[in-house]
Amino acid sequence: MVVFPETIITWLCLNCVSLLLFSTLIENGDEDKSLVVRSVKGDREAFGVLVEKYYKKIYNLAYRFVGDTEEANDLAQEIFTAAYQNLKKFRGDAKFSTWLFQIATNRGKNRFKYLKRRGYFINRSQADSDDDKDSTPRAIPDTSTNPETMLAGKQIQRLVQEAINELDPDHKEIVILRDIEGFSYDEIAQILNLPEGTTKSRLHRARMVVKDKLKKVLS
Amino acid sequence: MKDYHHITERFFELQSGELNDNHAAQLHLKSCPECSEEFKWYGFAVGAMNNLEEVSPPVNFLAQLEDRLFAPKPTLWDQFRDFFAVSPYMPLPVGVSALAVLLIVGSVVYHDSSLPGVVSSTPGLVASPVQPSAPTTMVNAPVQAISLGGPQQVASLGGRGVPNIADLIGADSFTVESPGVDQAIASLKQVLPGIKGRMIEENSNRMPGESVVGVVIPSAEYQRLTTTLINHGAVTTRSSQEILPSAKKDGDNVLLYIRFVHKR
Repeated sequence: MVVFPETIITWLCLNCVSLLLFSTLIENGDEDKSLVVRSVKGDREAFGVLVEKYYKKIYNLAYRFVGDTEEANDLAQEIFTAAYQNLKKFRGDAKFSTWLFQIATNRGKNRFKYLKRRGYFINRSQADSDDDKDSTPRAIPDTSTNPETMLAGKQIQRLVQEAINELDPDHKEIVILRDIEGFSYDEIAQILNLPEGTTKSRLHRARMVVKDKLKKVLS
Repeated sequence: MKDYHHITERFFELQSGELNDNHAAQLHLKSCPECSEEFKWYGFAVGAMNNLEEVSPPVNFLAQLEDRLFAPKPTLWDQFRDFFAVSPYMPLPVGVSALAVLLIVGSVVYHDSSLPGVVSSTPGLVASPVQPSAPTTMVNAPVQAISLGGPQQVASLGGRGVPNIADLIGADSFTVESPGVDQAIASLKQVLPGIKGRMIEENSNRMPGESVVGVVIPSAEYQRLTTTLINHGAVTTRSSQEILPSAKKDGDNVLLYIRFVHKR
């Protein structure tokens, strides 16, 4: 009986796991592509599968762009409609998800600019602060000792969203993709067609802006 | 070791663990309360964004999307009915206002271009290639004119059974009132080649703000030119007949004098 040394067994196991992961990823991409092909041929069910797979993430992204559930709903629907109408233009060079998030980011950015031009976010934050006046006064947490404890609060969530709303569109899209949706720098570079260095420097500036706003409100 | 005076620009790398000189940065953070506080807030902001709750779409999201994608295409009537409800880009008041503006502009343009061939209502007489004018069109024209000639001129000038206003007034000479006399004359010069006419005389030394122009045009074009002049505010008056020489005909051509007067 042949006895394998422990290191060889570990190496084999790792290889098997990575092979499995790789094949899953490839399969995932291929599955999307075949669904796209079927959708282009008029198979509604195939497109339904794609929607089912991505709609929660797309809706969440839309919400982070506009900060309102109704607007987010409309925007997410618009994104899928645009994707459906442009499916023929999907050439398959990139992953379908990258292509879809490219559409989502462009539409989200445009909708955000549109709403901002019309003072939508100013009116909303005004309304929110009026609501706050009616409710009990906000307890300002002691951030100097333990800022992590504040993450759970709904108010913090709202304040973060407000801070994101005030970012300019180029910074906002990167913050949403990286810090909220958790895309890798590679994926962001593909979605936004930006070099990694630019992505990182913009992300840093955006984070600094959010940090300053949160600090101003909370400290 | 690098001198980290303030390391806010290094926060990104420090946060993501990409900083090469990490140890030095950490030392700086311990010794600089300002940077330490800022870095704490930086981490807090990043953590807060990472931990934002996922917002769930409404339960009928998929049904709504299916309707939007695969609902039967609206008919023309439906599109017209829904025209003003294309939310959020075109609220009802904007739609109604736009329609009102369209109607007003359309009506103005329609009245302005009721004479075929005349495309401008500017003080000048800018005209396109002149089309034969119909009698019915002329009835609506804003004419202030009095008859000077007899009915015998109708046949000779128009050569048609139904006379138009220019025929009826038997205009020998015209006075055109215009806020821009030079512009009006320039426009007339543009019109003349189109009707095979030519200017033979231009006299602007009579009175300040007044010019008299003599033109020769084919008899057949007489009505068109006079109608164009009338539609642009030309009047025939007895005084103008006294001041200006009468029109002359030599069979094929007509010599016509037009007086341009500055209108305030």
